[in-house]
Amino acid sequence: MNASRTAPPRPADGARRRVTRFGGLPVVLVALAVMCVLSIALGAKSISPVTVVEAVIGTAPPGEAFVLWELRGPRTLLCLAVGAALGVAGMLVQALTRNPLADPGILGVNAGAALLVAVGVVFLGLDSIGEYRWLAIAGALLVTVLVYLIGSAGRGQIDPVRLTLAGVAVAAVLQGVISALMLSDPRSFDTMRNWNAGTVASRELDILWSVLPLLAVGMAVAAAASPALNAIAMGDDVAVSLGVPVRVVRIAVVVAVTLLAGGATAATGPLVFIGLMVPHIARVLAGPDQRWVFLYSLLIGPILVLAADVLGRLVMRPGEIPVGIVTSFVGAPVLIALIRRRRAVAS
Amino acid sequence: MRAAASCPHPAVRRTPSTRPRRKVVCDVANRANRIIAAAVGVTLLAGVAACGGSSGEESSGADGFSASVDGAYGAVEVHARPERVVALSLQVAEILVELGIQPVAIASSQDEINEFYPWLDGVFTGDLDPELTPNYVADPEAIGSYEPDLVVGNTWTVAEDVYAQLDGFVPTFPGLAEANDDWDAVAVALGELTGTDGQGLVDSVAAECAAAQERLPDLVGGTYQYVAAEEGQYRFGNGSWLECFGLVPADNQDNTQSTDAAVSEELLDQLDADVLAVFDRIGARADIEADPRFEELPSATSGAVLWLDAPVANATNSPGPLSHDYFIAELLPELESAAAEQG
Amino acid sequence: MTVSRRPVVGAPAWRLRAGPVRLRVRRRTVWVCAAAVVACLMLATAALMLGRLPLGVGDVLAVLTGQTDGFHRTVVLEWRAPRAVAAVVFGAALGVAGAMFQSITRNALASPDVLGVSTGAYTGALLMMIVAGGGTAAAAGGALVGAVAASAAVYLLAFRSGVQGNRLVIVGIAVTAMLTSFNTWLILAAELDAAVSAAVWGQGDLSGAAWGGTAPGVAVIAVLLLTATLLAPGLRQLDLGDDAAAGSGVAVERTRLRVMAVAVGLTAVVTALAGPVAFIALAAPQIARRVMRAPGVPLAGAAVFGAVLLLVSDLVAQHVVPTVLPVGIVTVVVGGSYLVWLLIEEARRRL
Repeated sequence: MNASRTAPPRPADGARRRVTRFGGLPVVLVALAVMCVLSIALGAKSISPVTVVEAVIGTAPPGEAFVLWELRGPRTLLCLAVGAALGVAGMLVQALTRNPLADPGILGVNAGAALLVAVGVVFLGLDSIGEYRWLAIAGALLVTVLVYLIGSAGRGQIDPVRLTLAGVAVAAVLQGVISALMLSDPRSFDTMRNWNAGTVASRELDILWSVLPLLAVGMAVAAAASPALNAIAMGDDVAVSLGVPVRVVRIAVVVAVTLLAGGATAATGPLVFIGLMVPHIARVLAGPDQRWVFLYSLLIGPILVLAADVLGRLVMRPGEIPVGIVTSFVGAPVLIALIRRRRAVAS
Repeated sequence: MRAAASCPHPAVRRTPSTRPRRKVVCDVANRANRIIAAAVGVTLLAGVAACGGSSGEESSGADGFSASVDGAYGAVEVHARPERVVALSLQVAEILVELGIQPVAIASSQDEINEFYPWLDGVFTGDLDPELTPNYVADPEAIGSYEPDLVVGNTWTVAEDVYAQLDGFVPTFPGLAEANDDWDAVAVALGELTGTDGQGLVDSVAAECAAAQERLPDLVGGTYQYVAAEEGQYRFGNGSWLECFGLVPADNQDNTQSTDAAVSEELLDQLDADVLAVFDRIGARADIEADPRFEELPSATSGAVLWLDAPVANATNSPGPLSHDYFIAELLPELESAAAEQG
Repeated sequence: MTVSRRPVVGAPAWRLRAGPVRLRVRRRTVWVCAAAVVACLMLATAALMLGRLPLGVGDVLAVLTGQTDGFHRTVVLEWRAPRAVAAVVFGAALGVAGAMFQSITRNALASPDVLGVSTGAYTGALLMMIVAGGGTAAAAGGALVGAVAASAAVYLLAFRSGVQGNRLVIVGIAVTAMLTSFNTWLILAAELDAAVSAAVWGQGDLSGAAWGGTAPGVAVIAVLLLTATLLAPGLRQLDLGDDAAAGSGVAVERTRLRVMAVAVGLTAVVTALAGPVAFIALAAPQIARRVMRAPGVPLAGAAVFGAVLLLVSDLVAQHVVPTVLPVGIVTVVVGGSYLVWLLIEEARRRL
């Protein structure tokens, strides 16, 4: 894997950069608000704006009100929480591994969650998210710790390249086991193929409440750690000479990623590409300062997830496409455009 | 039948299939091997199929039995009444049993039967052997170990490549051309291949359905929808089994199981058939009933919403004769009370 | 061809000369390759012996020498042999494809999969199996088209006056992610039986290997492997870096495109016939490099180790694990475990 270093901000760039940073913020906030409104207003069922307004003041017919508040409401909230968590987790992982292509899955989060879900489905006969969400969280946590231990084996220090390799290897092994479990009988296969898609539909709010504490703690740790990531981006030696406790910061980042990505994945199943994609857009707007990248990732993640979800409700009407399927269709073209536009990617 | 290619008598040559042959390239490349296989197959089948004995004889076997039906990949021929039949799916196994033929081996396990096919418990006297179709693909060696004179499967378990492996060795019925065979067409074909009364079996099940309809005078002619609850949407399943109760598909009911046959949970009001069958795989019943629009569905007001558990759902999925017995017994009482409500 | 045993600088080596072609072959390379070939033969014999009907070496030899007819012959020649041959040849093809790709990207984790070959093949096969309702032959055709189309799309999207390695990888990841999502959706929306069959295909499975598919596959792979050996010298230069290669007179972009075409072709053929068998392309070159202690990524070594790896994995998938598995599941577990072991071993050595 190509280890990349994000260069420290160059002084000549500073003025222009500051303008983009601050100027971008209202744009992103407005976009987020618009997406929230669209997520309530649009869906497989056509509901006129008038009815939406009626629903707000409580005079809409019960059927329409149910669709707006009980079906679209919870999934909008879930999109917000999960998008923010995955965006920040992606930003942290890319800073930690100094690899712009890393995503939270690289620490084994998805594979771990899927593994324990598969175990629950095959051996305990579970078949809905309400039943296996705790297994998903536990799996994500356990496997991340395992990847961390392998990646840092020896000197007790995280070597970004080794961590990446360990994540890829462990995820591969687990994927084999998951596939074997999945093929063991048609019922398990059916449940697991639904898990693999990743969806925010039909999620009761208590799914969100059960992961929210994890996301909140993860977010707090991430916020605390992101200033130090600027120093680490310049290399361990520089960071140490600046008095940054490199090891502590790295462990904090791993903990934050695990909580954020693990919690998000437990609630929705794997939403691919959000964690990879969001930091790239954030860096375009925010420049290399990790505190700003953090802020932008936090806001852009939900925009992307909401956009994907709304799109998924509209393109296959009267049916829907799960959001986890759509995320890469929204994100990948953006990534390709970015990489073609820029002279060379940071590498 | 590949082995027949070396039979000297023209009557037993492989009959040209009416279906276009997709494996032209493979066939050319395979010719040398086919000759070897043919030689092997002939030797092997000599005792059983009486194929290519002395030239000039009838192509039929010792008991004068011979049959040929069009399978998914070409004609399937037998030249003696099959006695050792290997069944590669439970659906064909139950058809065979009802035709009076106990397969020597069935690709299933007691666990699978207990959990998903309880009405088939104790029906079979042959071996239940899951290794016949590891990973849902027929294994020629496992099949060969039962020394079968007929293998019956479907196009899922016997794909073209597997068919090519088995075909020269033992007559193999890989299902009919359509991917999801109607059980009655399969029953007639298997009746022909085994010299039993397939049509009689089809008629007897039709009579059962007719008897069920007689008890539902007010529902007959009504519409049905059959969906599986998924997260966020309802996916249409093949609901043609509901026609046994005299129902007809609703306008938006999609029995093709194509990839876009689904409606969002936001459009619950579109599930407005007289009878609504729901396979609730994910335990969504409480959520669905919480939607205020549910109570207003015609099926809900008359009590004609059928919540299927896994066994009933399996009984309705490509049902055979015994599966019909089971789902009729399970669902008729509910439908009767719904019909009473409507009447 | 003459073999001179003149000692050369560095590792002990033989020099081979056949007309204008001169080759310097390290002795360790030769010994390791020879040992791997012997292992391959022994494993292949085991593959012909093992199964529901256990056969002795004598039985197998009798069949191979044409002294036995009947059921044994069907079992060995029609059912087991094509599968064993497929494992050997497909494994070698994947190993070589991986080695070529790791050389041109100079990235130990690169494999043709990065170009979307496997995922594209899976998409093609799924479209044929689920949407068009076709059988295995149609799936193979769809896979071939899908593999080539996906890799061409990645190459073209990454092309901007040349293909820079890093950009290629990123575009590859993006396209692969889109195709993966699409595949997941096809599996999700398909009827359960069709979905399960397609998913087994998607793991990489040799159980359908019959001569009808294996024989033409072997022929095409043989041609591609020959082409690969012709490209080997330029490849070795690329392994040293674009600048060094250009400096020694290699047309970098053209060589890279040719190498990629051959690597994609090898992977596409294998994937069409056996499904996307994971990790062989990634692991075989790395194992070969370590066992041979070679400086670059050796093609021949990758070929023999690929063959051994796939053959062993298939034996394990059929006979060792409690239930029969698609071979791709075993290769992923074996390859991944090897990588984990390697990481731990390296860490231990550094202590």
